Amino acid sequence: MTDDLTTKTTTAATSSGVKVAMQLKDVAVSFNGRTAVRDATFDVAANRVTSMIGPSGSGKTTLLRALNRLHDLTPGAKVTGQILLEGTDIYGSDMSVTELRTRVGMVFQRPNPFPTMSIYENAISGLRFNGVKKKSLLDEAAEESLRAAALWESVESRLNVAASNLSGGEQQRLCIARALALKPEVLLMDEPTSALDPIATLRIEELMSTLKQQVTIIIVTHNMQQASRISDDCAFLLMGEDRAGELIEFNTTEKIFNSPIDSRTLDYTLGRFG
Amino acid sequence: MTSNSVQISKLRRFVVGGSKPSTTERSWYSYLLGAAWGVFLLVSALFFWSIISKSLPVWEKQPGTILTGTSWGGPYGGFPMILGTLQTSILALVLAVGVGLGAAISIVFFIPARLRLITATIVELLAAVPSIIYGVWGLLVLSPWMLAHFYPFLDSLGLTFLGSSAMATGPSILLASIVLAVMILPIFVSITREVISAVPQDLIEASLSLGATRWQVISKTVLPTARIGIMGAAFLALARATGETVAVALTIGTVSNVQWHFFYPGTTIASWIASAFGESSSVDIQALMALGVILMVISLGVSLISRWFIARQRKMLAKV
Amino acid sequence: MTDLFNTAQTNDALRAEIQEIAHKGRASRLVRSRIIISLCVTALVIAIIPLAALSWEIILKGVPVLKVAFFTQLPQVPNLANPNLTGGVSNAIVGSIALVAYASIMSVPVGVLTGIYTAENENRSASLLRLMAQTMAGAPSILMGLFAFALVCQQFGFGYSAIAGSFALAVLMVPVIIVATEIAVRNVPQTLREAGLALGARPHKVSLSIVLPTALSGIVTGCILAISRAVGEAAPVLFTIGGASLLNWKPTDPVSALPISIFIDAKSQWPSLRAIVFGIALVLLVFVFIASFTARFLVGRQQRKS
Repeated sequence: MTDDLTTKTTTAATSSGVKVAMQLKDVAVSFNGRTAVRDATFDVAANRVTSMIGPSGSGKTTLLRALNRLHDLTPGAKVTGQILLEGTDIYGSDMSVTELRTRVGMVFQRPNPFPTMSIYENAISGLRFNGVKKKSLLDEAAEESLRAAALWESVESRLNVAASNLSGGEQQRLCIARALALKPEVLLMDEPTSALDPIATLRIEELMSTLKQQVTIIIVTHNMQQASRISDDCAFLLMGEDRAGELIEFNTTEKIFNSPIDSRTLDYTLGRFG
Repeated sequence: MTSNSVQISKLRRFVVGGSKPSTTERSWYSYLLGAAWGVFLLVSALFFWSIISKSLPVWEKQPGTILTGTSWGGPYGGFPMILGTLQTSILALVLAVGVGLGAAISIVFFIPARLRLITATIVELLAAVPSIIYGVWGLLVLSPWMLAHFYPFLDSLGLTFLGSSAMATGPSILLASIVLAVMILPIFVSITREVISAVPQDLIEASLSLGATRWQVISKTVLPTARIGIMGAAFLALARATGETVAVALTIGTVSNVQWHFFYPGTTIASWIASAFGESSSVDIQALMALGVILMVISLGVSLISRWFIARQRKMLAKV
Repeated sequence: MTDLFNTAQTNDALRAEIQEIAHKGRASRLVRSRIIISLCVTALVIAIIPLAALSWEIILKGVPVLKVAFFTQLPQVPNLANPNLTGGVSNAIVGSIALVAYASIMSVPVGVLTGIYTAENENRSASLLRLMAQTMAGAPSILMGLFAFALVCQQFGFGYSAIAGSFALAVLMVPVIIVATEIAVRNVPQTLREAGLALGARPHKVSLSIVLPTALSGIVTGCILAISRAVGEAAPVLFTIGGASLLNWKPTDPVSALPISIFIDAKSQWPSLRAIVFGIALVLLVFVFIASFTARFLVGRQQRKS
């Protein structure tokens, strides 16, 4: 594999004039000096689903969590390179962390609704954190986000019930609604269906095509069939010999799965390793 | 097998334990263990029985007075002691929770990792200090300081319901409450720390991902989730405060009348028993035993409430 | 089609409204967060101050008192001619040692064996034992004094004696030892026990030769902590030991104890006697801190081994 055949920095989206939601330039994350992921350079197109795939340990989740600065929590974590949200450096001084997180939301691997809150309170919790008090606004945002998460019909009669009464799949959709209520520009999803049963998984996958009209979605998944089903663009990461993950290839999903450039990408999508 | 031997082997299982293979041979080992815990159970039962039985005459003759009477001797009135126990314990709890909650939150979230061990160790050392040392520190060090600085300061704030600092002699309800607060702080902090740390990390991350500030994460996510456990910690600390004897005996002044002004001496059940025992006749001692029973009920009741809270907290976190 | 367009528009409008509201209050929210956080850290500092102040005072005022005479002489009473004639606390030292020794003899076997039982069994009696141990561990220590008085001093007729005080202390120590032993034995990995059983050893042999040695440091830690607590407790011995101004130590004799000497001397009108209190307190503090650190050290070593 020669270097000039491998295009790591693909701007397949921008070349056709599509809006870019986030840009990553030479992003690397290290913990106490040990690199966990590096050389991530790609553009995330707006209103599309971008998936990040690769075997475990390839740094997908680590990279995802850099996008809403969750690594700020971890002492010893260092993020280098540049990450831009609508052109603004998210680690710069022009954007506070709290503002970033209202514009880039996150859904986690295991459903984690707030246990002491009702369904309604969970949905509007993000708005409350950010000082929104107007009841009409809260109600409107709650209903919209619950509809967007395909949960409204099943919960509208019991909004004040504790969130723990919902099934696993419903709880995860509640978490999606919770993130959506803030109307973020980007939604990060960290293996959102891996803890759910197949039916719940399907229902969430069905959401993606309508959701992406509202938000740009970046989803980490270890299930490449899921990636090929729901994503428009795809980033493939792999753990290198030094145990650091790196971006191998970034392209439209169609190309990644049907005509990848790197042989390692082909091996992975054919299931030769995982 | 006859029904008799079935019953016997059932009893054997109950006593020896179901986890052992059912050998009919009873090793000396299980006899030894059985003897040990038999002794423990026997002594524990005797503990309750002997104090209660020694106090029976009081309950037969004057059950109402012991609870509501206000003077000691003749009819034995325990109301000042019961009141004082509540006054000191509750004030101590308020102070301990006020400081302890902030301290526990700091240890878990804000102290850099390397300092965490030191601060936690210091808080644990506070728990190991014998109560009598807190008592003498309160009496010989804190009391003069409070007389000189703190009572006048509180006076200047206009808190006249506490009494007048000019008439304060040192030992007082306030002094005893402060010493108690210092004593129960470690146990409150230690349990609260545990409960707060048990809040799942991904709830914290979820809150942060919604744009919450650090304090919002704590006040709107961590504390509500841990609230029941913190109540358990508070009641446990309260239980400890109600039973404290020598530290209070040295710092409260021990009088036998009802006292509402916190600058002045008061009394509690435990400190009264300690102080009055030496000069008590056998009839007096019966009354002291009755006070002991009241203390037993209060302390046990509060402990049980605490245990209930902590169990509920554990159940809730298991569901998350 | 128009539906989608409208939704997109209202979406953007809502988004802008939310962002505006969020932005307006952000600065004050961040400031508020920082202020409250510093209040919490202040609370931590306040929580630590008493220990610092207390240790400082006791070291400062206690060290000058710790002369040889303090440890070797019997107490004496000051008078107007000799206001500094305090003597020492040898009677209390001997008494405390005797009390704790007798109490340990009574409490360690019962406590450790019971703790082993509750750790290895899940039946109703084990649950009852655990409940009793927790209840007794939290009981006010003065009640143990009342109990010992009623049972040992009166019922058994020993009067004020070391055996009565030791009994009260033992009742105090047993629950602590039970709980610590149970935790230590439960922490022994199940695989160790299974390996022993697989080799054909009988259950009680497995307990004795395999589980116990592994749990030993945890058990010893529990005993150290129980002893440390017993040395400092005044309430259980207050009206059971009687007090003595000689070097009494026999179980049937009335004895003195360090916490009691503190209790009496602290209320004395003589400043010289009140000063002695700091010396005794220093001795107790040092003992308790050493015990505490030894316990931590043993637990830490055990954790490192596994």
